[in-house]
Amino acid sequence: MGSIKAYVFRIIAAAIVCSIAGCLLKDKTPSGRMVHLLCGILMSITILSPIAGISFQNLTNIYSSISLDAEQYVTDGKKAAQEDAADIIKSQTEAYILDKAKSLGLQIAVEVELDVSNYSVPCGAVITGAVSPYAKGTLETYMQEQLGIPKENQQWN
Amino acid sequence: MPEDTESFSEGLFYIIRTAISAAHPSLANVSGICLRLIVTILLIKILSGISDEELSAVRLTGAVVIGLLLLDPINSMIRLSTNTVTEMTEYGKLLLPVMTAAMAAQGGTTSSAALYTGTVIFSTFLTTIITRLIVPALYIYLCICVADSAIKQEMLSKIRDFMKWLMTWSLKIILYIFTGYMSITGVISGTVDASALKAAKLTISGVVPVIGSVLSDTSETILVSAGIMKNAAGIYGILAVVAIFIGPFLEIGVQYLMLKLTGAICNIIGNKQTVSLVNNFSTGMGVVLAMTGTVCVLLLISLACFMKGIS
Repeated sequence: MGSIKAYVFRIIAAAIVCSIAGCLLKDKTPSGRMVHLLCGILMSITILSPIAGISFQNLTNIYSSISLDAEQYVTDGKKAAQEDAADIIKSQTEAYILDKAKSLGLQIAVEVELDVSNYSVPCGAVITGAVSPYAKGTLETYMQEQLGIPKENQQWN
Repeated sequence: MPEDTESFSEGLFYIIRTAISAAHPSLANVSGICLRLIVTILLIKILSGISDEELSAVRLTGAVVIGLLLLDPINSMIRLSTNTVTEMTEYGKLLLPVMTAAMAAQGGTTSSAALYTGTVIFSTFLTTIITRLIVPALYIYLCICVADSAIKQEMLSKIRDFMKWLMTWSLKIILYIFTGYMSITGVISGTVDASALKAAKLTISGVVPVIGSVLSDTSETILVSAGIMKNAAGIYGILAVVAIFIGPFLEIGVQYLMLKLTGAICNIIGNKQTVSLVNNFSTGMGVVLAMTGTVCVLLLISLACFMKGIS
């Protein structure tokens, strides 16, 4: 409110100055016309002065800060989505491996590793449990061909 | 907002009902002011009628009395409007990051960044213009209206008209540019995001059979979930913006309509000069209404664009 009051007072002061100048000089004389013109310019500048107060440097800084914020929020959103997707893919892949193991009559625990940089594709697995050589071979082939987990990245404990 | 409703329309009607009941005291208050205004204008007319020539003292006194009657309510409405604008802008600062993150999770990385940047820049700019230009200009406009009514000067009328033009057009231009920006951004960045999503789907479908379908289903699930979350946040956001806006809007709107009505009644019974002062004050009240409405419309357009999502 303080700045508004100051603005109103500036306008009133400019109007008083213009009125006094207008009273002192008659409009029809060349100097009177000049003063009339100057008064018009003074009034316009006073009225439009808040526009000059808007700093464009400030706006540029605001733009950079807003752009950085936008990037941050987008990154946060993408990261949250990727983490959720990774959780689902990991649990589903583990469920597929456990299903296959169950069909082979195995009791195992499995921990799948994901390649986060490549759409969270499974890239490795740690399998724990007692497994016969035949069942191990079948499960190894299944994981490589159906789930894309190379044999060298399958760790058997 | 009701806690036990899942319906958008129910929530909206609840907000409107509450706002209407809250606007009743304001209606009673402004009715009293308008009644005093009509009586004052009638008195001025009677006093002017005593003399054949219009008395400048009567005109001056009339302008001052009408100004005093109307400056207080319009001043409180300007304060209410600026507070509402600030509240809506602050709420936007909380809501927009949520919408941006949800839209990015849905695959709209380019669109969400562009929409967020555009909305925040325009709302910051609009708030700055309102507080630093329109509100001071409105006070000047009202002072000039009273002065013009009191001393009848052509120059004052011209400045008054210029002020009115400046206030209404600055609001209109900002809204036009914002709407244009949102439309163009929606089309361009939406297409970019749609292409990126299509490319990602093609890449995923090329992966080994079983895991390919797992990836595809998962990405679909994530996109749908993010969409549901975004729309839920958007709907509650719209309701919240409307809840902030509707009370002050009705209060200012009631005062605006009552002033218009008073102006219409005074046209029959009053002097041209005094009636035009009432009409000019109602125009000022209209600017206050437009100020609040523009910020609300800007936020609602932005939320609608976020909710529309990727084409």
